[in-house]
Amino acid sequence: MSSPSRTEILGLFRSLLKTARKFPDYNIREYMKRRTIDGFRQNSKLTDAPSVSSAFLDANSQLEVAKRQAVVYTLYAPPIKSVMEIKSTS
Amino acid sequence: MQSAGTGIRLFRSSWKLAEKCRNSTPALSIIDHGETVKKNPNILGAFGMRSFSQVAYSPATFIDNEEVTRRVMELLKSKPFIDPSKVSPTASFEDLELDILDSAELMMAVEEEFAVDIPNEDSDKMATTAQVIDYIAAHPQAK
Repeated sequence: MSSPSRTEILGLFRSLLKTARKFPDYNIREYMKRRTIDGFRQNSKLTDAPSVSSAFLDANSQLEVAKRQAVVYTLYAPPIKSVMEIKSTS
Repeated sequence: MQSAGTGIRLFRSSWKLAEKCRNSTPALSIIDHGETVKKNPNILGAFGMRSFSQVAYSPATFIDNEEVTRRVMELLKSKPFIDPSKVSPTASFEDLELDILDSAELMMAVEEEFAVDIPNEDSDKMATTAQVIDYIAAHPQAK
């Protein structure tokens, strides 16, 4: 299994962040954004090909999970928005 | 069974398209900027409906440069990984000490701020603040 290219990794990063946007729940959105940024930053220091590949595959499977969950969450979106989403009128 | 479902979906989408054509008025009003002209795809023909010869106009809304600059500056200053004192319309991403992940994160924030979708190739090419400002100012769907 060849290790992923730079563009692939960037593409995966972006896909994860784009999927994060689809969640109606504020908490999950923010968590997903934080987690992808932290995860990618942590793993940016990896150098050997097998660990890079395994991290990439890991992230890919998480992306699949997130995509499915985004669909499910939108089906059952709560009507009440989180307090963090109330735009202040100051 | 599959094709019936696709058939129904096609019908619905073409119905919505037909509604849009009926309701939209061609823009005879003062046009400052160019318009993006969308031609109807020929789905309507497939269902025996007369394909409408009128086209659906959607006015292209370009945001002017000063507003784009102001909003991009604010966005950059609000980011925790960017030093606000270094932010300027001429700063490059290197000046701001952005690594590749930071740049990607920044482009995502720009996408959200201006409600546009920037394809990956365009995102990768961005290397300075000025490029971002020019891209958004030239994007017809930016809000």
